[in-house]
Amino acid sequence: MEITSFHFLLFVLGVLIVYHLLPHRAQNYWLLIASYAFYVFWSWKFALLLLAATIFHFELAKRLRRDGKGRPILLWLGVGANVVLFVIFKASSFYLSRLVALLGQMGIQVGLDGLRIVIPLGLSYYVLQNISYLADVYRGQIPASTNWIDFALYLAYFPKMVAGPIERARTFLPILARPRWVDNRALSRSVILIFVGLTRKLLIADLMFAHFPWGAFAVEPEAFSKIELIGWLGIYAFALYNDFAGYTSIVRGVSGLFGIELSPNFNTPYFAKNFTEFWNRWHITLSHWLRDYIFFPVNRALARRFGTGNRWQTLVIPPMLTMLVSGFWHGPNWQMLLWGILHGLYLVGERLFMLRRQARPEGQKVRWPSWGSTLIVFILVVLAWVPFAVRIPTALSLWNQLLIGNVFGFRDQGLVFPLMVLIPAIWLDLAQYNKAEEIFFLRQSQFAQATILATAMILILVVTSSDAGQPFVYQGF
Amino acid sequence: MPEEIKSTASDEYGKGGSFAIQKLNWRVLRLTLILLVGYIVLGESLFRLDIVRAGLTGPRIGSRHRQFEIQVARLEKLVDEGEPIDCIFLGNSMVWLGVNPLVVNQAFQEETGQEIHCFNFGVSALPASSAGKIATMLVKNYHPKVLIYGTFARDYAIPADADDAYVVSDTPWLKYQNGKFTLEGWLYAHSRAVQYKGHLHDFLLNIYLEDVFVQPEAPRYIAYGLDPKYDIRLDVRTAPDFESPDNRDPVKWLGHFEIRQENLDGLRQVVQQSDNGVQVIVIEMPFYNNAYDFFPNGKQDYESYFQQVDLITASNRTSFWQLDDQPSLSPESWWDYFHLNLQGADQFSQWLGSELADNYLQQGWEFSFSESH
Repeated sequence: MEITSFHFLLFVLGVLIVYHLLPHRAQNYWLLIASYAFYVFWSWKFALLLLAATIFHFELAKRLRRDGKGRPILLWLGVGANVVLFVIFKASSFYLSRLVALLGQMGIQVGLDGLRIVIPLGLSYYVLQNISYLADVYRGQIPASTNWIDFALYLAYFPKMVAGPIERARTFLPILARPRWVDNRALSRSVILIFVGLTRKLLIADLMFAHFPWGAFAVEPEAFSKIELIGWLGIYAFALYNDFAGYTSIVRGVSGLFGIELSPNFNTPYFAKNFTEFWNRWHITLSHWLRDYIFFPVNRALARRFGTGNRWQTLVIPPMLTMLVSGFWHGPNWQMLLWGILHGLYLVGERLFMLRRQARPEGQKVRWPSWGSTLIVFILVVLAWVPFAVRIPTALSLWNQLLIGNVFGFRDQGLVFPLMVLIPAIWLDLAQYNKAEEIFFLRQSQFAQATILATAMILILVVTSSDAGQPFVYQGF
Repeated sequence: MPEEIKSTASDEYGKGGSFAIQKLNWRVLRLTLILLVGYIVLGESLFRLDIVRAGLTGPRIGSRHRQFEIQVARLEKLVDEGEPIDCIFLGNSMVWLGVNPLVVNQAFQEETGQEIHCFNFGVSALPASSAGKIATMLVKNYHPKVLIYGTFARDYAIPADADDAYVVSDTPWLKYQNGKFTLEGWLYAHSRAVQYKGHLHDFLLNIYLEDVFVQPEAPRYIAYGLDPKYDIRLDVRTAPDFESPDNRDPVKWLGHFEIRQENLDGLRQVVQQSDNGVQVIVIEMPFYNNAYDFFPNGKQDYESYFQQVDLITASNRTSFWQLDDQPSLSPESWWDYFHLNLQGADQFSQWLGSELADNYLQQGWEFSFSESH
């Protein structure tokens, strides 16, 4: 049941009608039933795994603290269990091929098909929620949940099941504990979020990806001129962003219809003026998770060991490690690790640059126009998307071509249409950036709202006339 | 949750339901609906203009069977361009790959001095039950003078809903053409906007562009429905390898061969088109000798199919052109055990054209063919 499908729409409507007829406590039971039904639709085995994980973390958290102190062994048991779960499923494609090769060398022939492990939907996301919950309880920041229904719903809540946002128990459980209402403002906000999300996903991301020359990139990257490569990489960057931002908008809108606000995940990331800001605008709930549970603890540990001065250990290790973990989370393979390393290097470089800048007298400080910083950050982010998108040999060829290729020249007219799609994509972001809020749409005149709605609706009807659109990219992580 | 929502809602609705919607502003929704209607009217008007349709392929009918959809689009395009349609070859992929209408015309013209404009309406994995429905639609919409149904045993073994991607019978447009009203069928039959929205879909998603825009460089026979498979895919002289999915899948229904009543009814529906003044001919489609091995009981199964077809065509006084009368085809003429390649298609089509000419001249068919444009 894809989020953009008609079946999902019917499912949400059905759940919604019953939900709003029920009293508050019964609503949580109903949402839990609906969430597991949604999950069973994908696979009952996934649902059983989620149920087991829920029971395990619920019981473990109750025992995490004793006499006002956290019990580190239990914390590491919980964290270790999640890491093992993640590695078993997520890294299977990475280690299984090597295991098969090793067994082959030992004379044992095993077909890879027989060993293939299907990754449970949303596993990467609820594993992080599990860890953050255990860590917060261990630190005494929140008490262990005593309400099994609310806790199970925190992990299983269907709008965020497929690809987040990665919610924290400290903000999500209180929402579940109190009564919720949906009024006119919440309704219109939710509907607009769903509509903007569908537009981003179906009319921007899917159309850009549909025109992307994957085959030509892999086979003959040298056939592209620099200007073409820059164009296509920019298209990829916006397609990926709109795909995930579209998903987040849709699920936030759907959740809003139940009176439950999910965390925002994107805030016009390509307008960031530095990399720290970029990570506060791109996949925000993951970035903040990494910050709170990897970066800060590592930084603190290193500061305790090496002092609070600007030692290279404290400058380099926290960002590099954080971004390596981010790369590993996206996919345990060399491509994602290279992507993580690049972003780690960007963050280290930025820290060094800022330190040097701070050390200079006020009069000698280099002044950048803000759009210049935005452009540099955007270009470097786009260059880092290359190994995210294609295998490493192809990525190296593309980077090489960017250095030595012809500046001008066009293989074909394939770029024209995606560049036209880029116009509404940029307009959407500019509108959001300037209004400094997501719901820029409601600020338009009623006629403009109706025109945008009608145009997008007719196009969405056309592009979904034979299927529900492509699966979300981040659904695969 | 926004503060505003909590503060306004909590007192009034604390003990009741959680849907706290008061009077809604319908103005934007009304405006949107008006604009949507405007877009539909605009689309309908645009696609009714010849100049807009000129560069596009023919209209779509909303079928899951893409090839069926494309065949209808090709046929519609020819009609739209004013090309006459004298005869239509109907059948499965053996017809689709095995009949070259241009060669048929050439052979026919050599003997009669008369042109015959045929369209190859071969559709992959077409059961006879669906062929009957298509035959009704073809006769009703295009009024051919000759309808030639190329048939094979597999057509009688496939259930109508055998394989999702190859189901023709559930197409609302086809149902509508067979007298069963559905809104979707009616829309595909009458609305240009609906017929051409598939073109916009494919263009936006960058798929099947050759089926969106007219390809001026495409060979003429493609416009007449023939799919050009130039090469020999299998050396048919070797015995079939039943383990190979390439061999097994296309003929999987032969593996549990049974003649289904719905398919015999489909054949009856085809031959009954003669009641509408159409000359109906049924042809036993050629296949390579060793292909009998695909049937569980070999030639015995094949004979049972043959007898049923013979019976139905005879009872309706429909011509049944059998394999015994057909030319022998060399191993180089085959794409695989059941399908001819372009060379084989030309040989077979040459014979078809001559047979048609002989029947026209000797049996006194009483109609004249259309003038070429």
